[in-house]
Amino acid sequence: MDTLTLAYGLVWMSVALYAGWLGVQQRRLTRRLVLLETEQQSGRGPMSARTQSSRAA
Amino acid sequence: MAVGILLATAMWLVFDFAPEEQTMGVVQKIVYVHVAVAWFGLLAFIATAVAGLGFLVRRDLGWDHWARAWAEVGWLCSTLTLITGSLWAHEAWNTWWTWDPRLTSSLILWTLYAGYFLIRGSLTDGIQQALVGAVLAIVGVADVPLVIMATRWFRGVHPESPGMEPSMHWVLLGTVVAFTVLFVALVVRRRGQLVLIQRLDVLEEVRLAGYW
Repeated sequence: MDTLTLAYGLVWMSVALYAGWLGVQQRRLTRRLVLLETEQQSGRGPMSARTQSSRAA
Repeated sequence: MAVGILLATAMWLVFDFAPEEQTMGVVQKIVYVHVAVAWFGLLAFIATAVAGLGFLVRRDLGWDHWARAWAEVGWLCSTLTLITGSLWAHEAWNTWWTWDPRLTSSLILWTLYAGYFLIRGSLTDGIQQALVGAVLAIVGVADVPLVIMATRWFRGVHPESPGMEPSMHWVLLGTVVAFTVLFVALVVRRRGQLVLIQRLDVLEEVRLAGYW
């Protein structure tokens, strides 16, 4: 492999890896946010009164 | 999309439009990407220090999110600067590395970035991380003028500026602009994620405290 290809290949691969990691991270965070917001709206947190009463039942 | 078009144009300029240099041949084209990442590595450290100062003045973690995002992309660029520079040096000077003032001060910059993340990573409290990170960035930013002026202040083998004909200068400018836009886009995206992480942490704390 010639030096020029190696230099540009490394730069583009690093940028693609970082951008890809950002994309994966974004999906994971969005999923967590949706989950938490859904829980919040339905009032089903692990310590919420509704959860405690349903556990007791 | 616009960033993609800009980068594709820059690559076309580098590989098709830019004339081949007579001494080094096609390998000289490494200079375009080398200067682009080196410039952003320096800019990002200044931005990290400015955002760190913003945090120290305002005590608002929002500033720290900017600092961390700039530092992440800056570290990536600083790493790529050393790698592409080393590849170029092997072709031009027949050595992978030499303790030239510009190269040494660039390595110090890379070490400062590495230290920034190592020290932050060793702390668990977000405020402490921001505080120590800000101080380190503000102190470390003194290396940036050293990197820029190293070729003028000290004698070394690194050229003061790449000797180029006018059309090459335009290609260099185009490449620097295109990569700067790409890296700024990455910084903005990463900063958005750090804000989201903070919001999620707050939501998680509220959930665990049993407020819903």
